[in-house]
Amino acid sequence: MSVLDPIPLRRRRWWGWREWLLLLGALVLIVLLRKGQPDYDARVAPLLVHGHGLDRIEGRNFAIDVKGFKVAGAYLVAGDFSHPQPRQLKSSGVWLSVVGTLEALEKPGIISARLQTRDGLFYDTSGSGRPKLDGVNLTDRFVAPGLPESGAYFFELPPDKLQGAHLQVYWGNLTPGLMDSLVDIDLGIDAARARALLDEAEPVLDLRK
Amino acid sequence: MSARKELSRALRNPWLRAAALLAVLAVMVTAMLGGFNKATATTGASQVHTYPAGAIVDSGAMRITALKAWRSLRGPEGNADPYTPVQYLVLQVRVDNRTGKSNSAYGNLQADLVWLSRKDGRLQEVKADRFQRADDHTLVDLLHPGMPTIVDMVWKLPIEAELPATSEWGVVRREFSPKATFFGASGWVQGRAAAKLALAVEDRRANVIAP
Repeated sequence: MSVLDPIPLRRRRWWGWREWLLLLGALVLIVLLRKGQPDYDARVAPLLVHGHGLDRIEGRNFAIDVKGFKVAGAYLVAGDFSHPQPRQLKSSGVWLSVVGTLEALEKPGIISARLQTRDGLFYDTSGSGRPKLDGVNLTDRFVAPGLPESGAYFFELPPDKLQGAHLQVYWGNLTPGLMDSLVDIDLGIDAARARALLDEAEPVLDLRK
Repeated sequence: MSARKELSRALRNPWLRAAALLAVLAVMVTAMLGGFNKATATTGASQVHTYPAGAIVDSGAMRITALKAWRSLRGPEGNADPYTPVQYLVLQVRVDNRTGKSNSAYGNLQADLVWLSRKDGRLQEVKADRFQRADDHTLVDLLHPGMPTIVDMVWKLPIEAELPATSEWGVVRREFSPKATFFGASGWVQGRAAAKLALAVEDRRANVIAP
């Protein structure tokens, strides 16, 4: 071949091993990104506002001031129309009452609570009718701005779950709102405090007084 | 072109030959997997195991132990309806919530444990009218995790309703799904039938004072 002969143009194939490699890399990247993506629950999780012990903590549109807590084996409450005699409310575990004051800061509504144990279980407040104590039971109580409501939330939980329990308070009466504030208060119950609470607990606490 | 020629041309077409081969293979695989066998039941309920009193049934979200059943003219708390006399069918169960949070008895237990009433030869699922704690007879709103609770499930029936000596209840599975809703939120989703409970129904209608 003489130097004057034109050099034949080598046409590159439009899809070769480089393209296969790029495609494979892109697929791996897509899979890795999808795996690392937070799930829906994590994306809309409530925003935690931490608190500790007996203190006033503010969330969006509400505040709670925890004054104290007490454990009892059962409650004795007054009878009602369908059951006139005094009634004992028993539990498969123990009763924990958390006394405090609720405030609505901007608009009226309901402020709910639940307990989170150290192993991640959630215990909702016992309903507004268990115990039925008008003016005391804070579950489903309507709170208006400027009119703080005092009372107690009542929980039933196994005695071994007292240690490390956190009180979680949120706006609304269902579950914590998506991306709304969730006040999380460490009640400060260590092993010794849990033992003391159980030792001091009355087997049947009379709530008729 | 005659139809004969058209057919012979189609038979020589490699794409059509491949499609025909695939169809034959699909039919063979379906037959091998039992796809052409006669279906035994439409709901699968016939394969559900029946448990007696005292047996522990795991429904996924709950562990249920049926303890006893009775019929009475008074509710579990001992009161009769003063206006419209009815009879009460009661199933007493021990329920252990196995999820990580408190659950509504009306959202879960009521939907997952139903009385199987036989009417005109057909089974009907009947939800309980109310739930009461066996110890203090108050209504059960919530079932808390790790706190087994003995619950009286109550069905109110017409006073003249006749019941067989043994009644059946159905337990439906409820499983955790990391993506239970359209948006991808997690939750506990009801599944298919898990078990049947068969218990002798004690007749306590003659008891005037207490059930």
